[in-house]
Amino acid sequence: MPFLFALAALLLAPSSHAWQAGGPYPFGVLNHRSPTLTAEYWNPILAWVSARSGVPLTLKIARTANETTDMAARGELAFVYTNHLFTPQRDRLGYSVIARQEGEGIRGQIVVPAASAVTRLEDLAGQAVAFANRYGFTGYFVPYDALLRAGVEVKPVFAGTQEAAMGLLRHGKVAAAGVNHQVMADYARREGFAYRVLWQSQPYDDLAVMAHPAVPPQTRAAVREALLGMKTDPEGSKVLDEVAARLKLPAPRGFAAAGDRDYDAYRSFFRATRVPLESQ
Amino acid sequence: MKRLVARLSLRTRLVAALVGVLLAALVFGGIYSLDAARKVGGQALQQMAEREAQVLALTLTEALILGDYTTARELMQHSVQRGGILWVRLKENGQTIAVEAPAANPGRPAWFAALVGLGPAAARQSVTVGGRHYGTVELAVMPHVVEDRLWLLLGRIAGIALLAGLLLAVLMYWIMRVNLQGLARLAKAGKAMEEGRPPSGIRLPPAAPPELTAAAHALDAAHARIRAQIEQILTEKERWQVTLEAIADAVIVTDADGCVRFMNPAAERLTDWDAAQARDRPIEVVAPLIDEAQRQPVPHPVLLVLHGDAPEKTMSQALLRTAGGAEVAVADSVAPIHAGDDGLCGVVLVLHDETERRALLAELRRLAFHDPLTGLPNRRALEGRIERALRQLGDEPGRRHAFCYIDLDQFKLVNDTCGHAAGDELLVTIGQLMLARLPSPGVGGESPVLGRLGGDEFGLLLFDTDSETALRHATAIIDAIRGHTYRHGQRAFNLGASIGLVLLSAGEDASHILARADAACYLAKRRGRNRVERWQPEHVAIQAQSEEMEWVGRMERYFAEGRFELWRQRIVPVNGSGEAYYEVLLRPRNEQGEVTPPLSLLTAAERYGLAPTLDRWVLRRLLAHLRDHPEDTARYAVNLSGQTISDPLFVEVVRSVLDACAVPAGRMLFELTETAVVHDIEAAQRFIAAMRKLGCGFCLDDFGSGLSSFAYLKGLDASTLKIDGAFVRKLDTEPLDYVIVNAIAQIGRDMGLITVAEFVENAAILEKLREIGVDYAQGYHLHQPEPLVAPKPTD
Repeated sequence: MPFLFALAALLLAPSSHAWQAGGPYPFGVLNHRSPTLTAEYWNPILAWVSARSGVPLTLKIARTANETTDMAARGELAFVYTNHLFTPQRDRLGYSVIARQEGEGIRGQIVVPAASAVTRLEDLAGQAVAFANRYGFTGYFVPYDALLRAGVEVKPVFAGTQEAAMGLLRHGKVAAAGVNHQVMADYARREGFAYRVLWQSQPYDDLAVMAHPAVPPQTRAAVREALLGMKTDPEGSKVLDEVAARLKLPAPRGFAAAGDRDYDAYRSFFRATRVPLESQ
Repeated sequence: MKRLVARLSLRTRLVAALVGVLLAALVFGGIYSLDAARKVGGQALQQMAEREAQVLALTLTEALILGDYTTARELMQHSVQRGGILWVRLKENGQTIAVEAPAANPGRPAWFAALVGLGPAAARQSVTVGGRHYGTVELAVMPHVVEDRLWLLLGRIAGIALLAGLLLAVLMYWIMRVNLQGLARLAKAGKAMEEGRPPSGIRLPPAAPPELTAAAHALDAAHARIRAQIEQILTEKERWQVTLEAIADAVIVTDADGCVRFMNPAAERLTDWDAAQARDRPIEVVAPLIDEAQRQPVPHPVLLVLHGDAPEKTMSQALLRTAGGAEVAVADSVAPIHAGDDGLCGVVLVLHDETERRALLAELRRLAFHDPLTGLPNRRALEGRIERALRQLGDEPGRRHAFCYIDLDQFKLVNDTCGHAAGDELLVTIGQLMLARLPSPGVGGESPVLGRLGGDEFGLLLFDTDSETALRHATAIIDAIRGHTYRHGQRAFNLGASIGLVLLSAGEDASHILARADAACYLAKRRGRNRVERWQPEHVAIQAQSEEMEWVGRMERYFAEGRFELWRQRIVPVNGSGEAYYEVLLRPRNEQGEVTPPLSLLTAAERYGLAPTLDRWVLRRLLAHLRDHPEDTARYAVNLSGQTISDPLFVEVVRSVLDACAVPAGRMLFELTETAVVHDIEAAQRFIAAMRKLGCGFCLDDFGSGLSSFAYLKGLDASTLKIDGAFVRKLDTEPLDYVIVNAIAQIGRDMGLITVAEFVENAAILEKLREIGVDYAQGYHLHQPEPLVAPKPTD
C-alpha cells in the first residue's frame, strides 16, 4: 500500500500540479495555529523570500494539519513547513529538508492548567486529553506515546490544531493536553494562560522546510539561501520582527541550515513508538 | 375675518387654536423629522453597509486563505439570507462570485419608501492578510432595514401622538369644562348686574383656576361696593331731597336745554308752579325774571350759563314773575352741573325771596337818612343836602342858600320833669310845627329841607334866599315855637328857640356850615335865647366857639404827641382834721411848650362828645401813676363829664383799671360838675351807686352854679359838695356870697356831706370858710397846681 501511494504520487506529480508548469510555488505550512494567524505570520515571510529569491511562493494551507499533510502527500505543495513527513510512509514521498526553524528544538509536553489537581500522569487515567490531530509529532505522537508507555489510558480528543487543543484545556473541556512546548509557551504568553507541565520529551529539531522532489535544484537553492539569510538581512530581519510581534512571540525566529539527517531522531521515534501509525 | 373670529365662542377658539398648533407641529415636525431621518438613515445605512462588508470580509478570510471558494459562496449566500443585504460580490484576480437577494415584499406601503427617499447603500472591503490580497468583498444594503425602522418608529410616534392627542383632548375638555363653566357663571353674574339684579353669589367649579376665583371675588366685591355706593347715593339723594325740600330758597334744576327737571317745594311756592306741570318746561317760562328798574325781561341767567355767556356761578337781583302774575323780588344764583367729562348737563338755579330784605333795606336806608322819632331827615341827610347845595353854588354862582341851626330852649326842662316820652312827643310836635311854617320853594324850585340834627337841635336849609329873607323865616319859626304851648298833665310849657343863621358859600363844606351855624346859635343862646344870630367871624363868642371847634381837630394830635399832662392841686382840711387829698387837673401843653388852661378844651370835649375819651385817658394815666409810685398814698379826685357817667360801660372801665393797677377804690373820688349835662340821670345814678359800692367817693362839683343843683343833690348819691368858686372867690368882701356859701355848707352838714370850697386865693377867704364850717379848701392860697409827677429832690 505505501508503495502504491508513493508510486501514484510520483506518477501524478509532474502533470497534475500547476506549480510544476511554472506557476507560483505552493508553500504549505503545518497548521499549528488558525489559518488566519498562519497567514498573518507566513505571508510576509513568503513575500520577502519570494522577492529575495526570485521564486514566487504562495502560502497554501488546508483546514487542518492532517489535510495539509495530505496535500503534501498528494504533491500539491512545492515547499512545506512540517515535521509530519518523517513517518516511515511519508518519508518515502521524497520531500527533502532544505532548512529548519531556528531554535533550541521542540519537545512534546503533557500540560494541565496551573490550578489543576492533576500532578502525575497516572492522575489522567480515564480522563480526556486533547491533542492537535493524529498527524502531530509533539502534539500527539510524543505525549501520547509517553502516556502509553506510562500505562495510562486516556480519552484522546483531537482539536484540529495545537492552539485549539490548548483552548479546550484552558476552558476546562479536557484534563490535560499533549502539546508542542514552543507553541504552548507562545500561546500561554499571548493569551495569559497559566499552565503546568506534567511531562515533557527529549528535544527534537524544530519543524523543517522541505522541498518537493520536483522542485528544480536552483529554485530549491534560491529559496534555501533566502531563508537562511533572512535573519541577517535588515529587511528580512525586520519582517521576522514584525510577524513575531504580531503573534506575540518572545523573539523573532529565523531559519537555520538543516538536512535530512538532522531529523533521524524523528524517524527513530516512529520506529519505536507504541502509538499505532496506521496509514501514516 | 374679524367678524368671523368675533362670533366664535371661547371654546371654539381654544379648540381651533389647539388643533391648529397640533397640526402645525405635526406638519413641521414631520418634515423636519423626515429630513433628519433621511440624513441619519442614509448615514446609518452606509455605516451598516460598511460594517456588513467588514464582517463579511472577516467571515470570508479563512475560506479565502484556504482557497475554499465553495465555502466562501456559501458564506456569502448565508449573509444575504440573513436579510438586509441586496447583493454580495467577491472579486479576486478578475473572477467574481456574486450572490443576490431575492425580491422581498417590504410589508408596508410603497409611498413610504418614496417619501423617505432612501436608496441602497454599497460598501467594499478588501481581504488582506499578512500583506497578501485575497480579494475584495462588495455588497449593497437594502434601505428596507432603515425604512423598516423608520416605519416602526413612525408607527410608534403616531401611536404616541394619538395617545397624547387623546390625553390632551381629555385635558382640554376638562380645563374648558372647568374654566368655561366658571366663565359662563361669571358672564351670567355680570349680566345679572347689568340688568340690575344681584348676582346672588358666584359659585365656581371646585377646580376653578385662581384667576377665575379672583375674578369672581372681584365681581362679588364690585357688586357689594356698587350696592353700598347705590345705597349711599340713595341715602345722599334722600338727604339732599329732604334738604332741598326743607330749604327756604327756591331751587330749580334744569337740563342742558334749559328745561326744568326739578323744583323744590320752596320753588313751587315762589313761582306758583306745580313741579309736575313745570317739568320739561323752559326755565324762562317757569321762572321769568324782569329787571326791577326797567320792568323788562332780563337775559335769563340759566340760559346765559348754558350758552357760556356768563361765569359758571353768577348772582344777580331781579323780579320774578310768578305764574299768577305777581312780582317777587329775588336774588338769583346759578351754578352749572358738570357730568364728568361729558361737559355741562344742567344748571342749578337758586332763587331767594328778597321781598323782606329789600323792604328792610329800604327801611334801613330811610332810617339812615331820617330821624326815626320825627321822620325828618337826620344830620347825615342834612349834611348831604348841604353838600349838594354847596356844589350847586359852585356850578351856579348866582344862587344863594342859607342854613339855620335851631336849638330849642327849655326843652331839657320838659325832658327832665316830664320824662323822655314827653320830650319825644314834644320834639315831634315842634318838628311838625316847623314843617308847617316852611316857606314855599324858591326860584330854583327846591323846597326847604328841615332836619333833626340831634337832641333838641334842628337844621333848616333854605334855597335861593338872601340873609334877610332867611332871617325872617327863622324869626317866624321862633315865633311859631314860642306860640305853641305844650301841655303835659297839669303842666304847660312854652319853649323857645335859638337860631344860628349862616349863608352858604361855595368852596366850603357842610361841617364848616354846621359849625358856623352852631356857633351863631350858641351866640344866640348867650345873648338871651329866642333870637336869631347870623354868623359873623368877628364875634368873640363865635371865636370861642371856633376855638372849641379847633380842639375837636387838635385833640387827636395832642394825644398822639403826648401833649396832655396830669397836674394836681391839694385840697386841705380847713380845720386841720382829716387828710388832704388832690384834685387831678388836665393840662394841655401847646406847640410852644407852654402849659395852657383847658377851659375851651373841656367845653369842646363836653360839647362834641369827646369827654368820655378824655376822662378814660385821665383815669388810666392817674392809676398807672399810682401803680408806678407806691410812695404816693394820697387820695385823688378825678373830674368826670356827664356823658361819661351816663356811659354804662364806664363802670367796668373803672373796675378793671383799679384791679389792673391794684389801687384801692377808697383812694378815688369822682367829681361831676353840676353844670354838666347829664343826659341819662338813671344811668348816672347807677354809676354813682356802683362807685360808692366799690368804695369810691362822689363829689358834686361847682355846686350852686347851675339850675339843677338841688335836683342833682337830691337825685345823685354824692358824698361831697364842692361849692362853686364863683361864690368863694370874693367871700371875704361880698356878704351875699358869704350867705350863699354858708347856706350851702349848712345843707351839706344837714345831708351829712363833706363840703369843699375852691378858689381860695387868700387867708381872709380861708378864715371865712373856717367860720362857716366848710370842711375842705382848695386854691392858690393853699397850693399851686403842680405836675402829677413831682421832680425828684435831686433835680
